[in-house]
Amino acid sequence: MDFIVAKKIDNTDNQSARKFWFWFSIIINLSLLGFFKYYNFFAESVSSAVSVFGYHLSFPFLKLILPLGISFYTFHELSYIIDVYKKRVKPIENYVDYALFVTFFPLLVAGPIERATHLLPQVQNKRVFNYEKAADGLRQILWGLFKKIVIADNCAEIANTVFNNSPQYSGSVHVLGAVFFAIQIYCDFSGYSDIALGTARLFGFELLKNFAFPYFSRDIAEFWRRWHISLSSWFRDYLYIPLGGSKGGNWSKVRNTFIIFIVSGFWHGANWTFIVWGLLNAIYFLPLLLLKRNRNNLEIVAQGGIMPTLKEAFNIITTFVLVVFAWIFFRAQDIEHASSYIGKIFSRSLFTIPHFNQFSFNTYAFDILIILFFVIEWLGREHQFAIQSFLLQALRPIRWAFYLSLIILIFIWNKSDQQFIYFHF
Amino acid sequence: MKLFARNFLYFCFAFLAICLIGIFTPPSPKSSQSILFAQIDKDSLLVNTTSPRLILIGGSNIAFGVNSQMIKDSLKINPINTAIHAKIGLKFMLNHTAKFIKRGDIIIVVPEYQQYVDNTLYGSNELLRIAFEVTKDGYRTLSFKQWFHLSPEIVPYACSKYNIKNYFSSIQPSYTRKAVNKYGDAYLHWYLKQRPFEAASGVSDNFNQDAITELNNFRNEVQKKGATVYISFPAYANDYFDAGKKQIAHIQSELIKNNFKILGTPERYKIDRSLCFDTPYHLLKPGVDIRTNLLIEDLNLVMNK
Repeated sequence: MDFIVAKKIDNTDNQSARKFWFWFSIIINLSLLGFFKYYNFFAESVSSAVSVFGYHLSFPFLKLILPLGISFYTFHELSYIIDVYKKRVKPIENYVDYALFVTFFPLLVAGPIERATHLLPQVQNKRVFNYEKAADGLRQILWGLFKKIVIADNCAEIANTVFNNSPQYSGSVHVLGAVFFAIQIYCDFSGYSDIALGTARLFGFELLKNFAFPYFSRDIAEFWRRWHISLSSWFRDYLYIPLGGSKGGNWSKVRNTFIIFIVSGFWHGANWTFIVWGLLNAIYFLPLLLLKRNRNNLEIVAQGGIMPTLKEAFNIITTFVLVVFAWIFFRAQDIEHASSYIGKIFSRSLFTIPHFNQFSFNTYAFDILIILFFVIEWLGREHQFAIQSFLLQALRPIRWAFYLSLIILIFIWNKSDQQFIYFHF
Repeated sequence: MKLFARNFLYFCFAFLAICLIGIFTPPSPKSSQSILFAQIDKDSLLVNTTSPRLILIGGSNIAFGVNSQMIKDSLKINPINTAIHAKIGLKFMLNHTAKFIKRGDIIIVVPEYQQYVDNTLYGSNELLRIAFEVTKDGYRTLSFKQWFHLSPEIVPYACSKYNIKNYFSSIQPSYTRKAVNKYGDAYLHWYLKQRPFEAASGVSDNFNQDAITELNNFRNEVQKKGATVYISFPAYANDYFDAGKKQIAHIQSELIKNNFKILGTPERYKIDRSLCFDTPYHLLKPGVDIRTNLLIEDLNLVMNK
């Protein structure tokens, strides 16, 4: 449909017709997304809202199978229509090119969310094999697999145990559970992005960078410039800026910030937990925006150096703590679960030594692995991905030994079928 | 492109070499303690035990679920429990034991229900350990089909040899070679407390006719040697049994259709979950005794005919 609508928008100079086709496409796309992803949530929320006033309203509960990656390709199509409408790109003439843009397999199920202006020219131009890029692509795939299979899936086992059996554990174990989830979601999602970017690079495509070492951020604004970049920048360009962005008075800044974070939360799923997660991030972000400190940390932390300053280290830790706290809502099954989880953290048992009945040799070895992982991430923070230039100057046997070790670790630490978290979105 | 393909190929060769080294690396200290190494002792029992002999074949339902002393006392026959682990696969269990069969032996084969479905009968990682570490040249005896189904396990197996955990940790005593008594029964878990295990899940619908073929081949081979084969059913936790009732009934009907001599019925060996140790097939002492008594009763019925 969007293939035809884009042409209709482009073929006419009549502003009303352009507007009509533009809104037609937007409404159809969002309706499909809304129907599949949010219908049951709205039906349930409206029913419970009216029941407060003594009325009874019941909607049928639909057992729908969510089309794989619907949030991602809907946003691809929206980006295409908006860019054609804004005359940033010309509509595609070849349907195969269009289909490739919307359904390019590495990014179909979990992004990154591509822009028409960025990916379309690559689809339309001839691609030439490049040794360096292909080798780089393989390195990125390997690092992505390591992040997902070794780090994320093993963190998931610990995080799931704590989140699913909350009452059994002390406050200090709850803190560990939240931290492991924070590492899991980062390695799971950025691991997928690395695999997607690496695969695309093998085929000669350069996709948008999706993560830039977000846990080394010194404030929340920097975190959001480094986390799920393709979605954040999508919302910034297609929602926040059209709403007025940070121009205008404080009221409009506050309104726009809340809108973008709540929509971002809602994009992840039809659950109040995601909305609260978005709200929390808005609350973290607002003071920086109002005090005009949201663009304080634009450069890479400790650029060109090895260690951060004490102040930077303190800021990184503080930001990480805030982010981890918000992730509790993201991970919890519902608000009640999140509240009880947080309640447990702020109980006396927070100050006990974490006793976790799954601690074993494996867990300690895994802790060492996580530390090594973050050391490599830190050393590679100035690059596209951590091992992009790691040992690149070393002799080939040393470099290959490192890659082979990663592969062996992947097979040793492989857990059975842990899905990618973002496949749900 | 050529350079890329060449370097990629070299890298793959390097990985292959590492895998080969891994495969032929001797077992780690942890691995050597494992109950899989009881295969050596069980083979020695098969060679040295005198007639009349009762040979039990199966996976861990037999290894962790039979009291051979009771059988010996009741039936005045010398029992040999050859069972170790279901993941070795029914095909290997049968082929390996067939070599040791003598005239007059009574053989009871008790495959787990999973051996009849999917491709379990061809074995998985435990078979690789048996083939490369325990029997040394066991890998030479594996068929193409076994290799085919084992193929996804080979690289993880090779890589597991580089896992330092195997050099610095130990196995729970009940799963070691020392947990096996003079008849081949694993007994160290008998008096332990029950350990939590997963909620009941059914048996796969993908019945594999090859399991029946393998049993048939085995029957033909050992009958030629003058031995008798019976098929029986494993003791299985009641909730698991109920979840897989339909598939279990199908397995039973296939065995009847193929004229196997059958001991008991699946329902007869259904056992209360509280009598299980850590899986629906591993039994605590009271469960072991109940199951062994049932087996003795069933054997008495056919032997006194």
